[in-house]
Parts: sequence; C-alpha cells; structure tokens
Amino acid sequence: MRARGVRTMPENGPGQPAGDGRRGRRRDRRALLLAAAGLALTGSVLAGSLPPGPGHTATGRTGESGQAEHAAHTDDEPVPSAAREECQDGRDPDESYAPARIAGPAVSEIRERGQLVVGIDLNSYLWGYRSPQTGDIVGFDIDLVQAIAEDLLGPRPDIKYLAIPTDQRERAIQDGTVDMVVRTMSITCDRWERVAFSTAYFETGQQLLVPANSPIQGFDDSLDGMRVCRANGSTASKLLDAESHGAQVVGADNHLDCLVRVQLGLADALMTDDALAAGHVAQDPSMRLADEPLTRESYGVAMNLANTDLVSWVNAVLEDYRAPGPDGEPSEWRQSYDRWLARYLYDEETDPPPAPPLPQYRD
Amino acid sequence: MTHPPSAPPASPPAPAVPPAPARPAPAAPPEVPRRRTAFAEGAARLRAAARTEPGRLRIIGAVVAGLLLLLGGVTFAEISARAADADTVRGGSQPLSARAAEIYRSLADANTTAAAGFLAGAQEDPETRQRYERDIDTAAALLAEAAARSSGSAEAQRYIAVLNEALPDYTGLVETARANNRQGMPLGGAYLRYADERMQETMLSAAEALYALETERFQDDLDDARAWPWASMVTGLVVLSVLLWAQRRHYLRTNRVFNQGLLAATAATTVLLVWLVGAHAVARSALTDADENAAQSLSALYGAWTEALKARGDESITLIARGAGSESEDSYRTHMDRLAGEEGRPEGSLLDKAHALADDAEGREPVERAIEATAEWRSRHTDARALELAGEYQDSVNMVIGPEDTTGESFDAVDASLAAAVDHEQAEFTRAANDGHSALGGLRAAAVVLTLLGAVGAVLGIGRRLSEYR
Repeated sequence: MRARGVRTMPENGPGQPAGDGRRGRRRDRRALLLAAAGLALTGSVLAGSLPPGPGHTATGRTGESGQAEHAAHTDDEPVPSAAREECQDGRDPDESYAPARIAGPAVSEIRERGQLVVGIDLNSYLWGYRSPQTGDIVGFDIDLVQAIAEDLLGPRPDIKYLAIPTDQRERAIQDGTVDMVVRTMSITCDRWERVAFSTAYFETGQQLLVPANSPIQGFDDSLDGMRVCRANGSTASKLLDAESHGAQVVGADNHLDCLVRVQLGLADALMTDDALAAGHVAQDPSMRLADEPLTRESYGVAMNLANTDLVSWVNAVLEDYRAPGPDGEPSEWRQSYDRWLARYLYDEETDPPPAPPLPQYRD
Repeated sequence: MTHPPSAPPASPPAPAVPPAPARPAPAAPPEVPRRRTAFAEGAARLRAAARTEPGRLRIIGAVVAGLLLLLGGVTFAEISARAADADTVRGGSQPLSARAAEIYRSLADANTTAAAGFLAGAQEDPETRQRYERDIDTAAALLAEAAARSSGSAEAQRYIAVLNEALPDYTGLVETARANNRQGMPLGGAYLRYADERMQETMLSAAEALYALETERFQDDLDDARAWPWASMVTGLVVLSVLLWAQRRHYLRTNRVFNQGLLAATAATTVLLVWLVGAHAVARSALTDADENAAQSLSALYGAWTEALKARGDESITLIARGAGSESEDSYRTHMDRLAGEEGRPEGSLLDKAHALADDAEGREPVERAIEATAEWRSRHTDARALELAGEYQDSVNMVIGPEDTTGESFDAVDASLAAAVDHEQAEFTRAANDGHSALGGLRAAAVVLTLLGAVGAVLGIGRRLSEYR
C-alpha cells in the first residue's frame, strides 16, 4: 500500500539507471503491456474518470526526454486535488536559475570562510537526524549537503549544521545565520517571495498515514468522525481546513508528534507528506499510506534571494548529483535514495525505478 | 491580683453552673403549670435556705466545688484538643505536607532523570537508570500511602487518583521513548517530549495542588494548636474571683483571716492557671518557632528544589528537541529566574528567601552552597547553549550530561545541598513541634488533680464553718 503513495515521484522521473538491465527490460515489457491496457481503458472510459493506474506509470516510463514529458504529466494529472501549484506569474515554482559554477560574492564568502553553514532538521528520520549509535547527523538531506559542501570547499569540507525549527527556516536564511537550508523544505510560490530555491531534488505530496487495520480508505468520507492529526501551520493543516470530510482535526507541534498520538490511540490518522511519512513507516512498520497523495510539491535547497551565484552553483551540483556515473553506476541521488528511502518508499515488484525530479530552469 | 471589695455574688458563671439551677428560676417560666410547681418548689426551698447562714454556706460550697470541677473539665477538654492539634501537626499534617512535597519532588526528579538518561542514549549511565527507577518507586509508594492516609479529604483523594492513574501511563511513555531511541529512531524523542508534557501539565500540577492542599491543612492545624485556651483561662479567673469573694465574706463574718480549705482551693486554682498560661505560652512559642523557622524554610526550600528540577528537565528537553523550537529554553529561563532571580538580581528568588528564612548557620550553609552551585550551573548552561546554537551539538550535550565541569554536576550539587537543607529544617521542625507538644504534657493530669484537690479543699473548708452551727 505504501508504495502507491510514492508512485507520483518517478512519474516524471524517467531516469532508469543502467545496471539491472534484465529486470528493467522485463519490467519494461510489463509496463508496455500495462500501457496498452491503459490506452484501451482510456478509449472506453471518459478521460476525466481515469484512475491513476498502471497505465499512467507506464507512460512515464517510456520517454527519456525531460521537460516536455514532465509538462505532459502535469497536464493530464488524473488526481485533480493533487494539481501542481502555479505561481501568479504563470511560472512553475520549481523553476530555478540556470546551473553555473561561477564564484560570485556569496560563493567566495563561503570559500574564504572555509565553512558551509547549513540549516537542517534533526527530527526527521531518514532525512536528517542524529544517529544515537554514532552521534553523527545522517539522512537523505545530509548526503546532499555533503555533496554541495564537497563541491564548494573540496574534500572533507567543514560543515556547520544548525538545527532550525520549521518556522524559523526563512528567517535564518534572510538574516544570514545559515548559507542554505536543506530540510525537507517544499518549494512554493509564497516562499519564493522571501527565499530562493534550487531546482527540485525530491518530489512528494501530502498523504494520509493510518494504522494498517484502519477503516480509513483515503481523503474521503471514510474520514467521517475520525480524528486526524497534523502539524500546526503545515500544508496538511491548510488542506484539512479547506476540507475535513467530517474528520476532527488534532493539532501537534510537528508531524512526529502526530505519530506518537496515532500510536497512543489519541488520533486515527495523520497527514503529512509522503516523504516524511516514509520516515514514519520506517519507525512504525504497522502504519500504511492511505490512497494517493493529495498535492504535489518538491523539496528544494533554500538560499538567500540575493545569492543567485550560490543558487546557480547548487543547481550545477544537483545536475551532477542526479546524473548516473560514466560507467553506468547509479547516480549519487540514487545511491542516497537506496541508502535511506528505498526500503520504505520503493516496491521493486510494482514500482518503476526511482529517479530524481527533472530540473526546470527559468528562461 | 485585684479583687473588688464588693464582689458581686458569683455574677458571670451563669451559663454553666449545673449544681445551681435555681438562678434562672425567679425569672419564672410563663405558663407551664407542672414545670412551674417543680421550679417553684426548688426556688422556694432555695429561698428558704438562703435565709439562714448554714443554708447560704451550703450554697456557696456547692457553687465553688461545682465551678472547680467545671474548670477541671474545661481545661482537660481544651488542653486535650490543643495537644491533639499539636500532635496532628507533628505526626499527621506536617508529615503529610512533607510527603506531598516528596511526591512532587520525586516525580520531577524522575522526569529530569529520564530526560538526562535519554540524552545519553545507549551510553546511559546505570546510575541514572537506577535513580529514575528509585524516583518512580518512591512516588508510587508515597502515593499508595497517601491514598490510605490523607485525612480523607475528597479533594486530596482526587489529586491522588489523578496521579495514580497517570503514573503508569507516564512510565510507559518513557519506556517507549527509550526503546525507540535505542533503535535510533527520532520517534523516541517525540515520545519523551510527550511524556514530559504529560508530566508537566497533568502530574506535576496535581502534585503541586496536593502539596498546597496538605500544607494549607497543616497551617490550619498549626493555628489551632497555637490558639490560646480561652475557655479554661476565663473559667479559671471566674473560679478565682468566686473563691476570693467567698474568703472575703468569710473574713467579714468571722473575723478569721484564713479558711484553710478555701485557701487550698485558691492555691490549687492559681497553680493551675499559672501552669496553663505558662505551658501554653511555651508550646505556642515552640510551635511558632516550628512554623517560622522550619516550616516556612521548608516551604521555600521545596519551592526552590522543584524549580531547580524543572530547570534541569528543560535543559535536557531543549537538547532532546534538537532545534524543534525554543519553548523549553524559555521555560528553563523562567524556572531559573524563579530559583535564583534574574541574572545579578537574586533578591526575592526562592533561594534568597530560603537563605533569609534559615535561622542558624547550620541551616544557612547548605543554602549558600546551593546558591553558589546555581550560579555555576547558570554560567555553564550559557556556555552549553552557545555551543548548541553554534551547531556543536555533541559538545553541548557533553556539557550538559558529561562527567566533569558540566551543568549536570552543578545541578547535582544544587540538588544535594537542598536535600541537606531540607533535612536540617525538617529535623528543626520535628524538634520544635515535639517541644511544643511535650510542653502541654502534664497539664491535663494536673488540671484534673488540682481542681479535684481544690474542690475537696473548698468542701472541707465550708464544712468546717458549717460544723460551727451544730
């Protein structure tokens, strides 16, 4: 079930790395078959009622060419509530500055300092947390920070990690406390007003997480009379404010506190994005994601609006980070994905191979 | 002792003179025929008796003896009540209040220790674990005892029920936190924060209310024990004036200066009165001493102790929250300010109060140590916080729970000094309360014996006069 929730991610990410070719081919065949089935379905059923099924996935898998494919997806997105945000100027919030390694003032300052100061989260399992065994800060976000810092400062870079509360991320960037924030931070038009984002490095969406035996089917009338927990001030809280389907909303300081409440029977479900939900499932395998994601959003590295040179630099790092190695070995992105997330987000049997979202650049 | 030359014949004791029901009789009941005959009969006989000197003497003897017996009874009853109050204070309500404080302290200590142990994670010191378990055991045992003892007040029982119910929930949350933490899951931290929240919001507030309730009752008992025995004192004075009047009358009628029996009765009454006032003054001052020098010190010390525990808990929770917000750091500052006052301004803080209330060097010394250790703790905390804010998380953790030169070390010093101070003041209290209680010791027996002797003396003395008429 949990795999269903993640399916959105690889949809627009076709980068199947070479390597496990045979399995890949087999899946290709199956995917094509399913695609055919999907097309047949499309023929017989009204387009609007087409459920997000295997056919959709198959389409995503066929092409290797980037942006057009991605756009096409957004167009025929079958879950209306999961529409991607579009900014007032008609731009996709995921669009960022073109990649370039030019040492402008911001990059130079970091290099002179010899230290990268990064705002992170220490409470998101798999993303950014402190391993109690080693005491090290680890996770998917942290791998990316390492890659950026190595690119900026050379091998064994000096990185200063600052744990930043959610509501202080933007301020820390604006007042220069940190050079960047890599902290499961969604790119939104609103945030673009105050901070700059790199290209997207992960795709996710809000989703309901419920105990395995829960009668809750998804974001629908099965929520009636249930208690749904969400972090105060989160995207989930906006969603639930707009439409609760008869659910009673329970607030908590953060998404992890919601998991505590569900485990203790003080809430019946929680809503957060599926990337963080993966961390929840990892910590409590008896939880499952219900139905499809309700939104589509991307994580980006947030930086100061003025530091366009740094943004471009990070985008250049991300280009390399997404690209498979010259000898066909998986990309750094994929390696990190496999290390942290694959076990919880990726079902080999049913899912297309995971791939990073494709970068979009401003003209 | 002054006595008016013409003392009115036994004026005030009207309300309580059993052997002389005659007094109100002339005020004749209006229209109850039967009663009237009975009253009238008695009144007539009394009037007849009052016309002859032997009759008068008999009446006087009966009144004096009755008054003396009354004095004995009143004093016995009143002093019994005072002694019982003093005993309740000493053996009941003060220990109940102290135990409520201990429930509060052990719960707060458990919470603080759980947080410190959690911070250490897999490297948790077994001593920390034992301390947590000891705290929980202590709290559970005290709660069971309190449920059985706490003077049956419904309000107290309600708080105890809340605590009894919440305690296993709390320990369950802490264990879940530990288990998750040991598996490397941040969920553990969320559980611990939730456990901390339950502790602060539900349990510590109930324990605080219980402590306030028991302390209020203790203060009430203390006030009761300290109240002057007015009924005994007034009765004693009445008896004395009646005796003096009887002797003056005797002197005027016989020209004999002394009637030995009446004199003995006067002496017995005087001794009893002096004893009563003296013993009570001693008991009262001992109890006042127990209150002002010990109980108030104890209350300030317990207050300081719990603030220290809360500040220490917040310090750990701040690190456990790992940048999830600054509420715990703010809360730390609030508790620290209550404990030691704002930076550089200790006036009015709980430690300052405890120091001012400590009445001897022995009591002041541990409080001074606590003040010193708190200052050290504070400065170390500032350093640890700076490290945390600079991203040196592990160094900050080491500075909070590490073995040397840590805030933990300073906190332990504060904790130990306050424990010593509490022990000292508790001993002071018990000693003073014992003094107060024992001051009333022989008084009850003395009241009975002296008033009986006095009554016998009065009856013999009057009997001697009567025999002159045979």
